[in-house]
Amino acid sequence: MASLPAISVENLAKSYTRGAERVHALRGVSFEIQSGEFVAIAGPSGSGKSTLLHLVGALDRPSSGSVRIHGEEIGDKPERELRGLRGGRIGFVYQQFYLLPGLTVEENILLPLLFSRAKADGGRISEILGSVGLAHRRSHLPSQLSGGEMQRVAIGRALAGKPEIILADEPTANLDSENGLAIFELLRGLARRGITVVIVTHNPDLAARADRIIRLRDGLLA
Amino acid sequence: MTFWGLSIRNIQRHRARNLLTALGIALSVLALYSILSFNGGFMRNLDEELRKTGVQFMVMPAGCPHEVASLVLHGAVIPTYLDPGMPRRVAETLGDAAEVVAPMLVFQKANKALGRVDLIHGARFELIGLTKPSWKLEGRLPERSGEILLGSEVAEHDKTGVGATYTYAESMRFTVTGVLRKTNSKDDGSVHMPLADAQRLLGREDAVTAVGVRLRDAAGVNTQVAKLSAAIPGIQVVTMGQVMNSISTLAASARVLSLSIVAIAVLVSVAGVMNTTLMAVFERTQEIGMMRSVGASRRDVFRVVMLESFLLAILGGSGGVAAALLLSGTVEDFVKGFMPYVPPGSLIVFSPGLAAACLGCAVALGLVAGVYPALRASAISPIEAIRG
Repeated sequence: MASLPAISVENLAKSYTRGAERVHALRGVSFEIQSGEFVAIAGPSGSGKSTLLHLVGALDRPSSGSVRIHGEEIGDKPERELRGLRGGRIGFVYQQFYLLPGLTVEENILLPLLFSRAKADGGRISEILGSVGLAHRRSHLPSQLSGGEMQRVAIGRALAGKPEIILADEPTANLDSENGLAIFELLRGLARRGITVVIVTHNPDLAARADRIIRLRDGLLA
Repeated sequence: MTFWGLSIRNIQRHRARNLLTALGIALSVLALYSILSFNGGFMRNLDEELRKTGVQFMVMPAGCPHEVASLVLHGAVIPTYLDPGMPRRVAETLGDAAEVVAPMLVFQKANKALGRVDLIHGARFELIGLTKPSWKLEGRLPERSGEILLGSEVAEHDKTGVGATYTYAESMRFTVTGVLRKTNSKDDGSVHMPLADAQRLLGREDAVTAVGVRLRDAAGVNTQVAKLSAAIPGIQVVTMGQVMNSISTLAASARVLSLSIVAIAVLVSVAGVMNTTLMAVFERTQEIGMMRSVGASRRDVFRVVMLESFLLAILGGSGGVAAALLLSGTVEDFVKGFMPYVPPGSLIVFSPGLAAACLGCAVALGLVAGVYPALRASAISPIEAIRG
């Protein structure tokens, strides 16, 4: 029996009100992403890329349509279950890193475990630090790191809950091309290890390096 | 990493701002502890001061009851005297109910030799053991005419002691037979001499300012006071309880004022904690959004912010209590300057119960101040926060 797709999106729509205006960010999008795929979501500003990522990542609820993670519908799940999903099966990486400046590299990486009440395993943190290339920066503060290193910490944080899926919103946008490429390759490496990686990017060169590109325009697949 | 650790790190990020907020709490706790301790010490020392008089009520010439308080507590000079024979009449009226009927004469006398005015206390020293059981002496009590006992402050001021001579007039020379050890009462600033010598020095052989009475049965004070008032016209009988009430009333307005100021200080510090915590929440909106996106619940976010408020409050509260103990002398001197009368002795003293209560108050107020910022933080939508 064929395995279920890691992400299955069907007729997904999202509308919201901004001031007096009704915004239709997504107008009925359908696609599937298989486990271990490395997919780029590309499109111009306002095309609905980030909205799509938030819906897939259980940060927001759709207006209509469905999002399934390994066959499991998440759109109607209670907040408590969605929270578990965000801290565990799905990891997020953001353009601006959002590291806590008072915490060390290790503590930033372990932050999700605080909220999931999971024990921090010394072997696990070493493994994460090794996989993001920061073993030598374990006790450093974010202010002592370069932009590329900070994004590596953010990726390490996304890995803390042993996720099946990593969603990255413009992870290279704040980095120079060399560091941007390195982060991209790091994410691709995670996909090779079986983690489904979805990145939103403006950069057509990087998008072209992904296994597949999902293009959006005006809330629809292009 | 724990929630405590996370909150501590968050506070450490803005040390100056958080230290200033904690300082505000510390100052209000310092004021709260000092004023409450001062008020408690005031009543306690006043009670002790009245107890040291060794009598339960005073018989005085009719007049203002506050004069009695002044006489008892300050050794004030009252320019009226009881009728001759009053001590005997009081003793006869009370009969066996009275354990001690102690006439006293208090007046000021120029001490030309030392160029000042002395406060003279004339008493019957054979009764001192009963009326002043807590007195401790260096030397002995005066036993005959021409002998005096110096209060500790007088002896200290004059740098003199047993064997010294005090001269008030050519024919009035006194030899010091004893020096009173510190009592923290008006007795420390008086020159004590036999009643007859004091009357002679004043130039009124039968003068008595007041008659102190101690009953065998303290429970019978009201009955005996009523009996005396009915039997002897032209006198007023004032119990030590009434003196205490009188002083308390005089000090009440100062107490209310000081507590009002402290209440305002406490409210200002609560507003400070709320402002600081709210500012921190606004500054960290995106971080809080990130925390929500990595699994933090609304309750987790609420907890982190409340812990920050708690830590600020406990830091400030502890600092305030510590400062209150370290600066008690300075604060006491400052507050005493505003009071119409202050009983002797230290008024601000360490009280574990009061310290714990003040700390508890600071923590409670800190938690109250943290509720609104914590609710605001927990309501932050991860999407809105991340979008900026």
